[in-house]
Amino acid sequence: MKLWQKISLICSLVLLMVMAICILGLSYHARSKILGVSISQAKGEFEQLESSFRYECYSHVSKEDSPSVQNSLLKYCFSKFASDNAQLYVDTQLVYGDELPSLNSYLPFEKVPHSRDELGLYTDKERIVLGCTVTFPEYGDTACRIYLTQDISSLNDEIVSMQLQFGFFGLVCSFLGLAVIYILVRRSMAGLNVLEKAAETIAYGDYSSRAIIGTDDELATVAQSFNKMAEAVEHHVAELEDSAYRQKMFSAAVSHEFKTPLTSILLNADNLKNTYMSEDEQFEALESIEQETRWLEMLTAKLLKLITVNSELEKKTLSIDELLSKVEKSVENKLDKSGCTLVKHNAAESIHGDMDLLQSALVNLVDNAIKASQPGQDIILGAEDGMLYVKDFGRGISGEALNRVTEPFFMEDKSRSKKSGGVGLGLALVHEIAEAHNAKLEIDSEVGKGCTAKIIFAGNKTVISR
Amino acid sequence: MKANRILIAEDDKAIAEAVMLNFRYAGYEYMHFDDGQSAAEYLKNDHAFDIALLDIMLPGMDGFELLPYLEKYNIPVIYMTANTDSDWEVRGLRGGAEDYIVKPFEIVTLMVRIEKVLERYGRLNTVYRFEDIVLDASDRIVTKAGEEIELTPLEFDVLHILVKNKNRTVSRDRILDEVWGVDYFGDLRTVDVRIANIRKKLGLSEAIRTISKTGYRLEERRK
Repeated sequence: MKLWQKISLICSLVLLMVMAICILGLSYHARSKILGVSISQAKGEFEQLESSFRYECYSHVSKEDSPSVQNSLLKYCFSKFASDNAQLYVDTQLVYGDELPSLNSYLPFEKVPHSRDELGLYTDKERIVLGCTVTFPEYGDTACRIYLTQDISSLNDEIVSMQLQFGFFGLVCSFLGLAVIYILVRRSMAGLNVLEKAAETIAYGDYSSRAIIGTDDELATVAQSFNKMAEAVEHHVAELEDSAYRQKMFSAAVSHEFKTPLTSILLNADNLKNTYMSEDEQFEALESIEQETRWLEMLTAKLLKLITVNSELEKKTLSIDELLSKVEKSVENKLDKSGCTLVKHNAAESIHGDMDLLQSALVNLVDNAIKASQPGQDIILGAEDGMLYVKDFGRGISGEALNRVTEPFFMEDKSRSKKSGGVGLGLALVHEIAEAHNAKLEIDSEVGKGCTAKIIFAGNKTVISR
Repeated sequence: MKANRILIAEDDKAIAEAVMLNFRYAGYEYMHFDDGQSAAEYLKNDHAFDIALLDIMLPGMDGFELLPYLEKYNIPVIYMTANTDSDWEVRGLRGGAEDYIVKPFEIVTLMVRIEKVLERYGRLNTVYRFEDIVLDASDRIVTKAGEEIELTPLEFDVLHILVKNKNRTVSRDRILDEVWGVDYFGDLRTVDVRIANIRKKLGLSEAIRTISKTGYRLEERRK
């Protein structure tokens, strides 16, 4: 059972109970009110009858009259005022009105009081019976008992029909109330549905789903927290997906890079084993196997370096002069071969980082610069406030390739890169080293004019200027 | 019947050369391109190829992009790639390629697949020559210096395999599988008996070399 249904049900039960109690109380109260009015009406009538009768008796009956005369006179006096529903008893003898056999059981004669102020009263569903004993001490000990019976059975019918009306009215009101409760509860719980739907959509993998609740109640607060959570989840999932995607691309690239040389090694081995070849052909196959194996070895070494960048990191404060000299030394041979000149521009004092890794990064950048340059061109290796850079005036990189150069195994021109001994991991490695130093690798280039690769450090504390 | 002509587009030189060496010995003619663009350009003027062997990751224009140029001239395509992703395979085959072979592969596999595709297209050259011997696989006739030589069906089939794989070692197991069928569990020496007969009938005692522990190889005499 849903929450809104539960709440509606409980509210409905409470409403019905309150309604029932009200109706019962109201009808009881109305009944007694009506009964009271009837009784006091009857009393008024009775009192009028009694006082008129008493007065009449005083003026007509005298002491000297014999009892039978007295009876006749009493009867006469009574009949002047009495209606059909009144009875007069003298002692226990009925002198006026219809004999009511049960009268004695309603109000026994001996219990009918003598005083006018306290009338004998009997009520049941059908009737009100009033009675009182009138004595005339002046005429002897004759006791007249006056009864007045009021039929209230029609009144009772009215009360019952009124109660039915109350009941009907109460039921109608209850159902209206129920409908209102149902609608209100449902509406105020609508936020929960929104939340539920949003949660479900997220559960099915659409992390961009949000719960939008227009009200400003607790549900809206919950929705806000929910949205914050969804945002965090979305963010993390996106990060995970991104990293998984990059991981996948990287493994695909690694597998491709390995499979190509492996294929040619296997094919050549297969040929050597199964094909009848000339000596020259056999030599060529062996040479190819050797080359590809060396290539694989280099690839493995570079990959290992790339993977272990973060675990190797050992940061110290290093002299930039020393760093640049080390770089110059390790590229000396290549510079000589290419006929390029390395120019150092150092405007900084020291740097906080890992000497080996930074050296490796700069060597890679200079390596690329050499490959892109013509003999006789300068290559600038420099340090400035907050960055290290390598600038060349060579071929440059096209805009499209510029975005992809740090991808592992990306080579703008595969055949040329392979001839010059690149595996396509250099810039990926520089990128990793920069990241390990909290730095960014930025490459600006224009085709035909050269290229500048900068390692820009976050915060000025890493590189301290002179 | 002319020799089958193969177009091969592969940017890795070492792989291309190892494959082409076998094409040469198997008697195929071939043209090699190391990027997609030049292959597409070349096809405009010369498109008399029976089959094409394409690497997918080619510089310039990849194997998928190159396919329509070959379809235009009804040249069946076999892709070869280092990518084991089944999405690529489905894409390749759905795009209209005849076959898909994953690197690293074996020469035998590649050769058999090429043969099957050529057979499907009715382009397979069924006349094999070895020195002065001509084997016509569709008519099942063998001639030496123009004269027909009587061979039993089994001897013919064994010779067919050897000629088809000229200069390559063919294992006894493979001969047994292809001639007698994979369900046959016979003695390997039954192959040796047929070989001896073929050697005698066609005077190939030197040309069919026994490769120890493996099988036989029909070798062309070097000049």
